[in-house]
Amino acid sequence: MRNITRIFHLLSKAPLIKLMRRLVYFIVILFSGFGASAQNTHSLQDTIVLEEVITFGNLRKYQSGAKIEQISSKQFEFNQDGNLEQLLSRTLPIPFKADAGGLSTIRIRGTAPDHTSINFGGININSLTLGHSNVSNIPTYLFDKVGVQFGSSSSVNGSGSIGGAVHLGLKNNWVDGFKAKARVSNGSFGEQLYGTKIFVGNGKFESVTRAYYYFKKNDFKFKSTLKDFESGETGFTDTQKNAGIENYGILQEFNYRITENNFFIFNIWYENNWHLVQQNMAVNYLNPEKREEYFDNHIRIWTGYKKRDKAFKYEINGGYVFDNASHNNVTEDTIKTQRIIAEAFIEHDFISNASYKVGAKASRIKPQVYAYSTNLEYEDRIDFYASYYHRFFNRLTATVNLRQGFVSDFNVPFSPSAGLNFIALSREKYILNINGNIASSYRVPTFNDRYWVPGGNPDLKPEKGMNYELGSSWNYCSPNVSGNIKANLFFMNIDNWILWKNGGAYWYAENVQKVHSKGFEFMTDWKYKVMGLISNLGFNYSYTNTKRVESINESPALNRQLEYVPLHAFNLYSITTYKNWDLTFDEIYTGKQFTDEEDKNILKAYFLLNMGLSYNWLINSTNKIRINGMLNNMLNTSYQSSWGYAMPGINYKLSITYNFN
Amino acid sequence: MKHNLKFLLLIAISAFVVSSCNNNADDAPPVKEPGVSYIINYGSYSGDKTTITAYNKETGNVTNGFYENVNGVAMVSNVQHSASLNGKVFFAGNNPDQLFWVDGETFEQNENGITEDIIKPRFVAGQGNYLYISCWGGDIWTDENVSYIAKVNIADKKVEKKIALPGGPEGLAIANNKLYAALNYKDSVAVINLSSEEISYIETPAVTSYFVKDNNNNLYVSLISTFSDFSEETGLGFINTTNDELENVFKLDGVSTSYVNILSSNNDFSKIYVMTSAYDANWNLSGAIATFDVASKEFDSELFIKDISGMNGLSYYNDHVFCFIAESVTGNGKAQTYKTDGTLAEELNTGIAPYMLLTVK
Repeated sequence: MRNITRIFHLLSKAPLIKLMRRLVYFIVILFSGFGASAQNTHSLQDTIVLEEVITFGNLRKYQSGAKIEQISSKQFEFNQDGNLEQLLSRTLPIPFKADAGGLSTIRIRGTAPDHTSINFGGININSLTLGHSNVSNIPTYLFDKVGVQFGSSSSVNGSGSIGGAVHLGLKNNWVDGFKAKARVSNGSFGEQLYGTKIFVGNGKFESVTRAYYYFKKNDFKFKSTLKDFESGETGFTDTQKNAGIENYGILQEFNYRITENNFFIFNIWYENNWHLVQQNMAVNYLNPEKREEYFDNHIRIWTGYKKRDKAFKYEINGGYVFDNASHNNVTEDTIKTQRIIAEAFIEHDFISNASYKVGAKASRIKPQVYAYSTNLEYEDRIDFYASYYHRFFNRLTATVNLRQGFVSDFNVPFSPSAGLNFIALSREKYILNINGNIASSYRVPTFNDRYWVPGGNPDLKPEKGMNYELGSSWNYCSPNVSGNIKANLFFMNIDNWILWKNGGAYWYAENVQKVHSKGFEFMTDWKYKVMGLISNLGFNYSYTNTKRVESINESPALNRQLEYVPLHAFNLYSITTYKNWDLTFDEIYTGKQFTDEEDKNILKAYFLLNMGLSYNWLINSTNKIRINGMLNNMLNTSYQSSWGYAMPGINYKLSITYNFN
Repeated sequence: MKHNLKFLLLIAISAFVVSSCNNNADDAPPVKEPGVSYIINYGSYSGDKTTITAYNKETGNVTNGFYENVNGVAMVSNVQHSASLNGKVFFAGNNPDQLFWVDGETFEQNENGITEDIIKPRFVAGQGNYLYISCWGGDIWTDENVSYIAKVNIADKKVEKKIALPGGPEGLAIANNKLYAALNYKDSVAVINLSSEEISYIETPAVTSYFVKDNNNNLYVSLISTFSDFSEETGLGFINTTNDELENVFKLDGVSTSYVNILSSNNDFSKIYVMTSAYDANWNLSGAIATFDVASKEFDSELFIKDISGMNGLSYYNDHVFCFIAESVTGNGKAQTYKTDGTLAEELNTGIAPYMLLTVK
């Protein structure tokens, strides 16, 4: 009832006829699906789901043909001291634009950071003012799983999932008793991490507390690109100054289960991030006293009741988000947003090989930003979505997703997607899948884009994308060898890409360009056992051809590779386990990157080699210690990921983790 | 005969004296412009740094990346303003903040710049052996008291004195041994006596940004409306530098708030070109140039040019109005040159975000 009231509230603000027409179409589509499906109530016995990526929902089931990858637990364990950028750049073909730890932004398949949603439960944690997240501030320590969806998924994840979506996952452990973990890590340039995870429960109720503190002085040495005009010297050694980082966070879970598939969850994540904005090499040398502080803190709450024990399933979820940021301690220039979110859906396995899901997600957003018009009190958003899954002849699965969003005073496009997965070959040891997916996507412009004074443009159109995906995967499994080979082709068309344009008096937001991104991704991962050794070897390669094909700006770089998108990138990793020892190597290659629309200031290609060694010491059945050493950038490569910003050379990290069960 | 010669000599001397005292601009000797001028391309604050485009007015040739071609390395700062004095070209650069200079003829940089006491420099004006640099001194938008004028001794290559000047000094002009500083965060122009360094203020109906100086050493100052200091009294103010009074205000809507060259006069100072902005028919914000007629003391009813997307500054050179265009700070900009009747003459490709033209004196 509350949602219906909300719809009418939205309708009263939006162009009525257009909205009514869309709403009627959408309701007809929803209820025609509902009526057809209600005829059969048999439970769904089998799906293609291999493993639930996160606790917050099944991503794969309703997205046949979509590329969704999950970081392995071993890789996750080796990167527990770092942030999301360090984890993903080493394990998946995803490039980042980063400095030495303070700021990093994700660029999946040539798209902008605003085009990848980063999801914690039903919360897209991207800033509503800037549109993206600083992935350097997302600690892997607080999570159990990370899943990444490549390509558009707005029909499932809503606004902003044009290039991809990242899901930060927690596992329900249903602990009966007490277990705990503590981690201490120390590394080069004053890096320290202290973390703990405490699990308490009785099998039905559990409390999980995860907390960490991270500090890094970040005073690394690097080879400067500057010239001393009096001595004529170039390439001298300099030390990075004023680039320290201090983050801490706590994530508290309270979970209660009535039965295995009937439970409540409550998660609250408080994150406090502070860093000195790293200065470029020239400023670092010429203005060594320059200090620029950036602080942000966040409260994210996601709670829900999930009933999944029958063919007719449902979930009711709710959330609250508080985001706050300040620059140089100027608290008068408020940059705050608050959101309350409510979501409910039903899922019905109405026959053994088909199911559907329908739901709605509503949010009210209250921005408090010093540069916004005082007329802006809040914004309401509501999304209706429906998903359908069908399996034919045990070989073919098909899914359809539909989503229609409504935003106060803003028109949101209808966002459908459809996918197929076909088991082309199925033998005892291997299986070959061919899949495809077509998905539309959109992004509602950020609050800054629409309401910043001056220059915010409420008349902006939403960014829109179409993603076409064709892939195949070959999975092999024998007693000593298992692995997979995956290949994907994609084409993405993103229109109405928003940039800020020079208006003479001030800059203003405008739908400026159309971008085509097409490419090829190859991933393979193998596990094998030889003479007591268990090895895991993987290789990821991406060819990403992303071009600005239209622009209302007179761009000299039309039909040229987009800035900060490497045409070629790959990573290679190996994890070898022998008795209690784990040895890991990973290599990352990032091809050359343009940094502007001129053909100058091109970032050179670089290759990074990292290694890790760990020892698991089983003291007794309840006490275990893991000692982990990492050596990063072993070749001491001098490189830049963001033009003009120094990156550290060879460095180490040593950690000790104590596990009590 | 001797008498006649003396008489002719007297006439000749009298004629010379009379002609020297004549302030009529029509009779003034033509301004001698150098054949090559330099377009300063700001770049991007967080990315590309400033580049220089050399423009030869005789051949019409442009050479982009001129500084880098000469010195073998790119500039490392975003140049906020530049001025030539005593055979050198001085650049006030941001991010990193520094004052650096090149030889006015060769454009070679042979010395490191000055960084001490140069914090967020905005504008450079010079006289004798001194340069005066308006500096914001820090986050001026949070504390208006941090700004100052850096007095730089060119011979010693150091900031000899910091003259505290609250209110965010922006454009500078020197007239009658006084330094005039347009204040960007206060409805005033500051006047600093260069001998005593005493400061007085001329109140203005809006905050101010830049000056142009007429042939009598009087000043026109741009009056603008900003986010932090809204005003409807935008336009040009006329300051009599003899009595330091704001004698007239000539209203004009939409005077650009850009931190770039928004004012320029023609060579005989009969016209002042003012950068403005307005929404076009599609409600896109675009740039325009208004013309102020000095003799009639009125803005022309028709804009000189309009609907310029990405306008980023203007200059007057070679009897043409140069309009600098930068739609973004990631792609090359351009300069469009206009004849004085407003017709487009030439389009020159530049580096990223061109905003001013420098002639070396």
